[in-house]
Amino acid sequence: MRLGFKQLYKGIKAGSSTLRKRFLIYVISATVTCITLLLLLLSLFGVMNPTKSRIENYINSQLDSYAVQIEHDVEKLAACSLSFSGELQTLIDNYLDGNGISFDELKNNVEALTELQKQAYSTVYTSVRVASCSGAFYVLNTTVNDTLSAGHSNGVYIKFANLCSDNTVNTKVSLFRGASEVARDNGINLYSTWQNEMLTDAFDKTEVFSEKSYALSVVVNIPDTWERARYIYSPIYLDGQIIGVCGFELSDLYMQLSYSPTDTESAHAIYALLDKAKNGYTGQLLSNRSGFIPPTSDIITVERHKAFNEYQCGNYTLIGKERELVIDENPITVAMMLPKFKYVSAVREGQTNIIASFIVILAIAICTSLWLSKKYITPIVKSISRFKTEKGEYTPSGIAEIDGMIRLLAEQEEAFELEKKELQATIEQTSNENDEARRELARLAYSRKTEVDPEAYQQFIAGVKTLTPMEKTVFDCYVDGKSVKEVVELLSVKETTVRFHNRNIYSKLGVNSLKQLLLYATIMKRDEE
Amino acid sequence: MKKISVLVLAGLILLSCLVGCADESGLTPNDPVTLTMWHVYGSQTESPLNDSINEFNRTVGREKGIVVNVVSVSSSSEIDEALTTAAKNTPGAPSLPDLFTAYPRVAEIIGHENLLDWSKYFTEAELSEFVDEFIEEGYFEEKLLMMPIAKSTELLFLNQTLFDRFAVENELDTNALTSFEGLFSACKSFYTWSNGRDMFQINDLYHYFLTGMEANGEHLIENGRLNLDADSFKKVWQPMASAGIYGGLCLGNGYASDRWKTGEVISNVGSTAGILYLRDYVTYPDSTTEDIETSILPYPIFENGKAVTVHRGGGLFALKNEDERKNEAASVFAKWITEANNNLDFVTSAGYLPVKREAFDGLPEITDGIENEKYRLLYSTVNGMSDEYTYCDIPLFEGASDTQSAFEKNVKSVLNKAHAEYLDRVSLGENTEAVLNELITDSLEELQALYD
Repeated sequence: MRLGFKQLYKGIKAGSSTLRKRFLIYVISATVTCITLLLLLLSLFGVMNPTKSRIENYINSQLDSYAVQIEHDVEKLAACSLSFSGELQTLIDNYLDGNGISFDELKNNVEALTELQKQAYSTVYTSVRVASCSGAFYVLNTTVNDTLSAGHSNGVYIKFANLCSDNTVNTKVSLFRGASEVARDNGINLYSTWQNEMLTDAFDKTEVFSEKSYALSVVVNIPDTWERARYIYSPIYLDGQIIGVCGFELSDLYMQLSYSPTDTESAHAIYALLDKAKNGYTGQLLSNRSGFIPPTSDIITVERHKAFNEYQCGNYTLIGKERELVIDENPITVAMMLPKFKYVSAVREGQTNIIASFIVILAIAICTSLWLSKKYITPIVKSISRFKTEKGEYTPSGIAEIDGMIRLLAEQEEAFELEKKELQATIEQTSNENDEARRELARLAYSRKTEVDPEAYQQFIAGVKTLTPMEKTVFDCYVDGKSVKEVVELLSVKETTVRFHNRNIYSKLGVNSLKQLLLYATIMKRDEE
Repeated sequence: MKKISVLVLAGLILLSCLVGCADESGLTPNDPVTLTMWHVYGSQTESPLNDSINEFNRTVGREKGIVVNVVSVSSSSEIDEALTTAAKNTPGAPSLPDLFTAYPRVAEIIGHENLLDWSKYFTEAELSEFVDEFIEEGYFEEKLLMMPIAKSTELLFLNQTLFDRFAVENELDTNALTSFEGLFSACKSFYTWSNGRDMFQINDLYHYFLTGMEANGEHLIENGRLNLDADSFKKVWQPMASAGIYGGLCLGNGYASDRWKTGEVISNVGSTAGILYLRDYVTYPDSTTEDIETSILPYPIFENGKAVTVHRGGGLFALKNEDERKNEAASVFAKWITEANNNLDFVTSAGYLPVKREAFDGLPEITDGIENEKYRLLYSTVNGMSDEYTYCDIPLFEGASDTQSAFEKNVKSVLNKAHAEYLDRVSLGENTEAVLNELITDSLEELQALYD
């Protein structure tokens, strides 16, 4: 069977297609309509682009969980920072009391400050181990040497030396800032960029604490390193005055190790902890599980869209969502992002899958239609074929409608045969009667001819030739048996005109009446035959 | 009908093939492979390898779809430790990175079967371009598991500024530091001159004994065990123990570069790579700083011994990954970093030696062109040593890492104890020379007893 859809369409249009073709077209049309409707509905309910909605749902849920986690961790770290501050406060107080010196007398006193560092080291060390951070420090508003051009602040700052996991139980610490003797005494190494003291302007030690108990800094470059970090720190009070700060470092690396998504689904997801800046954000982008991390030195600009925000970070474009948290007056924005190219390729892949699925479903539907039409039509075609060949001995097909139709056709054929026979008898009779009438007419004509005056008849014959075309037309009408009225209607002329032609015809033919004219005309016609 | 069914079926097969093609393996810039890496080349402050890696990521990496992401830059001992805990799945251990640089000893810890065999990704011709000794060190049971990317040797670094103050008063110069005997003698003088400060630190005591015994024709390691009863061990022990017990030789823990920063120790023998950590100034407890001049001298020799020093430095390991793309990416990076020019750029900014013969042999020619004066001095010293010195490899045997660290710990412990005893007895008025000689012998016996 050859199936060209164009032919099928033409066939159907011309009303000459087969039942099978029609059925196939109907089934396919119905299937395609159903699939299209289904796709339309799925599209309306957002199911048609599952990747897009799946990513959106995923980012929303992950962002929720991330925000909760950050909020919890920051609060926990703030609590550690407060506790750290309290311990140091007591320690410094006791140290000063024990040595009978005031805080001001620590200035330029190398021995006293080094001794204080030695005593405070265990508190700093314990804090760095307890808190979830990459480093811990305290820094006091005093120095071993106030004659140096750059202002210095004394304190201890230790950092994990080889951070390769957020679990720092087995990770060694090193002394980033502080007296080298502290490192010797405690068996730790100096950080490669160790310095004796910190620069005074490293932390804002007073203003931020007027309304809150701790501060969460923006991301800054850790001096002399390639690392970036933010700090959570609290004031250290002595007699109601802030004498320094202490707190924890959260380096980019530590944040990446702590908050990188771990499930396969989010292999390309990037968490971000952002601070509002003039034209967008600055902050920490935490590399995803695959290790990808866009450079974060630039301002991250944001374009807000309905579904996702678009973040521009240097040459990298990310899409994602964000949420603002305010923790003890400290505003912070958490965001979850995906590299845009990953998102676009995932959506495209989803669309390709849908199109591929649609094509497969369509192909299956067409195959099913072909099979269905075959299964459905074949018994019908066979029954008809059998009906054609098995005359009078039709075996029922088992299909009620077909058998009923065959029975009906058989009855109709029987009635038709009967009617045909009757019709043939009638035709035969009519034919006989017709022959008889013809014979009678001939006989009558012949007998009339003998009654006619030969001269008058000859004048009639000659007169016919002299008739004008109009007269001849009128004459022919009369010969065809038309009445005057009929001639008037037929030739669309007035009756007076016909009567005028009648007079001329009668004159030229030498007759007195229409009856005589018709008699001569019949004889003439007979003679001509 | 049949024809249509066949066509539809063919269409479906084609479609499934096309869908399958989306997952085909191979490196592509559209879907970059990221390799995490731990390495030892540099510090938290600056890392020449990081600079090279950034260059790789910007060029070949970008072109082929490879991102090398440095997660950790640390010391070899810390990386060793982290790798060991990770390999043993110790609770709280980090996950192993895709690439890491380490000493050959870690191959045993991680398991040969878990490491990538580089030889599958390098042709014979490519491998023949490496300095033979360097590439041979990377083979483990015929598998090339460690790809050399930089090697180093050991030198004597001297804070010339502080040394001169002492030397002038003691009529010494750097010629006294060409032999270990002279060096240790100077240490003792410095200790006296400075009222009890150390002058010199050996970063790897194990290497000191290794080269000392090689210089005297014997080996520190025999059949996988320390050979402490050898005559040459006693000979090498003698001058070092003398300075350790008397004072002047630093026997503290930690790197010499730490004490270099504070001027607590003014000289050390250590890897050429140590130059990265040796500042041009010292910081004093009152936060004042002093600019210093650094001298870089050949590795001291033993009187009447051969000039021997070590070739040290690990290599690049890659974890064998089920994702073949990662293995391929690792090999692309390894080829790039060992390519002569890239390798020279990296090693000469980190105080290392190149690993390909072409680059290695060409080192003297490029030395004058090195911009940094300190690095130029370093390579001049290395070039000057190359004809006179014999280079020995650090022996690899089962438990080598533990043996080395325990040995160094024991030597320091024995000598620190002897030093304390010496100070006590001298303060009680005993004869310094007699006590010193006695303690040198006793401490050696004590050490030997630990290994009996």
